[in-house]
Amino acid sequence: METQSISPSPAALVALSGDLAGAVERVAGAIVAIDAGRRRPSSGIAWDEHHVVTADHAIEDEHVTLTLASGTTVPAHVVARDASTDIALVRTDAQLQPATRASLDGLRVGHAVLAVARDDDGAVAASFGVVSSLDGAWRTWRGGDIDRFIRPDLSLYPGFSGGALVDIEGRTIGMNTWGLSRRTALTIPVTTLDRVVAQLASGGQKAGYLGVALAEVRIPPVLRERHGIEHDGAVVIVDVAPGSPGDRAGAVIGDVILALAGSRVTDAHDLQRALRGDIVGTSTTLRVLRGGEPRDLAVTIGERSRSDDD
Amino acid sequence: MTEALAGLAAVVAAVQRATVRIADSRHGGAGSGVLWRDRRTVVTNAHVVHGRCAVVRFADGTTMQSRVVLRDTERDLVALLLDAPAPAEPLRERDAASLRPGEIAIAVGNPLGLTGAAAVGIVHRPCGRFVVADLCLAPGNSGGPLVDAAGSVVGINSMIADGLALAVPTEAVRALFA
Repeated sequence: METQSISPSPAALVALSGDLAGAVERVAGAIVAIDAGRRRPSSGIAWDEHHVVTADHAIEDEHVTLTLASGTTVPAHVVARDASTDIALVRTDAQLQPATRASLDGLRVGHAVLAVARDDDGAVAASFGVVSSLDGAWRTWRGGDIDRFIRPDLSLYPGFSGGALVDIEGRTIGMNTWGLSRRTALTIPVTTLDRVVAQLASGGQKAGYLGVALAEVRIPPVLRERHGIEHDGAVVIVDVAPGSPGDRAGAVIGDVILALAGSRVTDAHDLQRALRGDIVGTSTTLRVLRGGEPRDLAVTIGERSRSDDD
Repeated sequence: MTEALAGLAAVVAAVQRATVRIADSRHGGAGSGVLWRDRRTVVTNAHVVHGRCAVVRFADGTTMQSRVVLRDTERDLVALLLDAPAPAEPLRERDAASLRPGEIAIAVGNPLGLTGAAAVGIVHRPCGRFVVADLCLAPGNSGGPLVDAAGSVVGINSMIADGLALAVPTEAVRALFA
């Protein structure tokens, strides 16, 4: 049979094709499918020998089933999750093959990348594109800190959330997710994954606790002018839990919170942010307006347990 | 990279020569088809050719009549016998089962009224009942070839599902002639 000969030879294209398939194969061992109670499974990346990172928004049940590269399914459970960065940490007793991390230093817009996931039937699945946009650190709509903005230009198909974005060597650049923007798929960089996984593995990020319920209010211009308050939004205390740090500090219903530990509070979100991390256990100042007059309350910040609401 | 891109253009040019535009005699629409095995046979989708014969047009403008000699609606395939030898050689064949996810895949056809249009992507997942490719097809691609980086045909583009291209694998086309 006569067939067409092609000139110039596509040898370089064939080599590139082989490289792309090789990249998928290199990361494939670390990519699992996660059945977590959703109608459709998502994907996850083996982070160490027994842990998998995945997209928090795709997880419904705490007890999940992983489909590994070998095709076997194993039980696993959610260790901890952080909705603010859309990262969940899952543990299994089965032995995993961790992903190789890429260095993000040389990453540039236009670099070829692959999204790699695992389908519900256990088959590896991939899509191809380029790095579309890069920028510095940013904060998600839920207040999570992401070290670097990475937007890939490729099709992130159903089931691809929680899967890996890899370079042409098959090294993991980050975790792809639909959970951080309604308009576009984004990639959470490996550096952020490492940081949040470390926090989640050590019991999660500590969060401070005041024990007050809040409503958002506007400060009347006359009061702002009189006391040199630059912002017009604030929160008013509508309930104080008995014996809580807020109660012990003398906060009462009707106090309008202006600042905590020197951080301006213009809405409930600001207060949550001010209560994050190292502040737990410290004695600091809660600045409030009471009866139209500013007042500083000395408060010792408690630690929020999982059952506390605020 | 420059070399790879030159290779890509060469592969597309070769595949275009073996790809035909098919106007269905009974319906107004146009689809695609590809020379298969010899210079007298074209394979396309059953849903592209509804009647017993079809006019095919090659990239160089050569136009000829053809008639349906094999039809398999289950596999959505039709083989056409050309009235005269084609002005081109058929493409090499490759078993779709050997495709690895990530390999480059190229579709050539006549989507949206275009002629010999190429779409480039990758193999999405291991081949099952269909070759699944991460590339953008449009109506009019139906019946046209999906080829690998070497220009070997691996399937016949047939469907679009969830934005993915679905092609009937080479093995199923061979079974049509068995």
